[in-house]
Amino acid sequence: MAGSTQAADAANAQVDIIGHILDQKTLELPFVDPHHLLAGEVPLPSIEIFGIDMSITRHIVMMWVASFLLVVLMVKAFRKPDGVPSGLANFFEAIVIFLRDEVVLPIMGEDGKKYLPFLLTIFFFVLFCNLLGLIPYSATATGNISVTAGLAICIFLVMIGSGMANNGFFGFFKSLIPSGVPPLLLIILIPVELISLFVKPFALCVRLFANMVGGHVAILVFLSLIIIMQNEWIAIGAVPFAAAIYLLEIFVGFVQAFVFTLLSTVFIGMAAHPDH
Amino acid sequence: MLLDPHLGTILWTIITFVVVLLILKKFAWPQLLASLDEREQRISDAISGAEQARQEAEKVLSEHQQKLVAAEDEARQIIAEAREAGENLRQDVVGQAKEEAQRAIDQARTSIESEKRAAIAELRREMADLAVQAAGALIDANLDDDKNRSLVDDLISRIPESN
Repeated sequence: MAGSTQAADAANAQVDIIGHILDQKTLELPFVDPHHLLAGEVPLPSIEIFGIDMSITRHIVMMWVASFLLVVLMVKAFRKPDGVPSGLANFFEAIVIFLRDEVVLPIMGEDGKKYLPFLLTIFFFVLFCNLLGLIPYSATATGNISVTAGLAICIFLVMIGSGMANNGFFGFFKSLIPSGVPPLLLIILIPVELISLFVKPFALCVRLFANMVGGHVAILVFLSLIIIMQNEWIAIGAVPFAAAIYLLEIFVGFVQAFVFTLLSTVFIGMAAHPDH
Repeated sequence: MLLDPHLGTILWTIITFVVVLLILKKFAWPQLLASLDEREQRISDAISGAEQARQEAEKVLSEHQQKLVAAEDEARQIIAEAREAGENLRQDVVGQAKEEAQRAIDQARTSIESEKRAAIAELRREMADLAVQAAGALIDANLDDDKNRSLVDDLISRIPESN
C-alpha cells in the first residue's frame, strides 16, 4: 500500500511537500544509505499494545529528542545552587520571569503559582519541538495534529481538574452557565457552553498545528519551485525567500509557544475562577 | 492524511509530556522559581536596608547638627558669662581699691589733724611754761613792778588760740 502510493507520488509530482510534513515510520539521516548518501532512511519499530498502534514514528522520535534536550539543558542550567545564573540559565530565566510576571500571575493571580510548573513545561516543550523542526533532517513534532491534540488533552484535563478542585464537581458544570439567565435560554446556552468547553482545547490544538505546518510548507514551496520549474536560476529568488521564511519560522516558533501558553493560562484560569 | 489524528501518537505525546513535566517539576522548576524568589527577596531586602540606613544616617546627621548648634550656643553663653564675671570682678577690684585709697587718705587726714592738735596743745603748754618762767624771772627781778606784770599779760593774750 505504502509502496504503491510512493510510486504514484513519484509519477505524479517531482516534489512531495506533504510527504515531508507527514509523520513517517522512518528517520531521515545522512550517510546511512550508500545509495542515497544525503537522504538515507532508518526504519523505526512498529509496536502494538492492547490493539492500539503505538508505533514509534519520526515525530515521536523528534519529540523525544526535544524533550531530552529540554530536560538536560534545564537540569544542567539550574543545578548550581549559588544563585548566580550563567548564560543558559539567564536565557531560561528571562523567559520564565516574563511568563510568570506578564502572563501567569496577572491572569491567575496568586493562584497561578500552583500552575506555573505545568505552564512553563508546556511553553518550553512546545518551544523546543517548534525549534527542533527547523534543523535539517529533523521534523516538527508540533506540526503533527496528533501531537498538538495530545498536548491539548493534557491542558483540557488540567482545565477540568482545576475547575472541579476550585468549584466542586457540580459547581464546575454549574459555573459554565452564567448566572441570571432566563430558563428558556438555557436550552440553547447549555449546548453552546458545553461545545465551547471542548472548542477551547480544539482551537489550541489546531492553531499550533496549522502554524507549524504553514511555515514549513512555505519554505518547501519556495525550494520546490527550483525543481518544478526545472531551472536552477530560480534559486536566486527562491533561496533568499526560503531563508527569510526560515528566520520568520524561528520567530513563529517562539510566538506560537507563547500563544499556546497564554491561551492555556487563560483557559485554566477561566475554569478555576469562572466569575471573572 | 494530514488532519487524521492517530491515537498512538496522541498517547505517546501525553506520556512524553507527563514524563517531561514530572522530571522538570522535580529537578528544574522548584530550583529555578526558588532561586528567583530568593534573589528578588534579597534585592528588595537590600533596597529597604539601604533606605533604612539612609534614614538613620539622616537622623544622625540632623542630631549632630542640632548638637553642634547647641554647643555653639553654649559656648557663646559661656563666653558672655565669663565676660560679665570679669567685668564685675574688675569693677569690684577697682571699687575696693578706690575705697581703700579713700580710707587711707581719710585716716591720714585725721591723723594729721590730731597730730596738729596735739602739737598746738603742746606748744601752748610750752608757751605757758615759758611765760610762767618768764613771769617768774620777771617777778624775781621786779616783784612789785605793776608795769611789768601788765606787760606780760598783754604778751600772753596776744598769742592766738590756734594755728
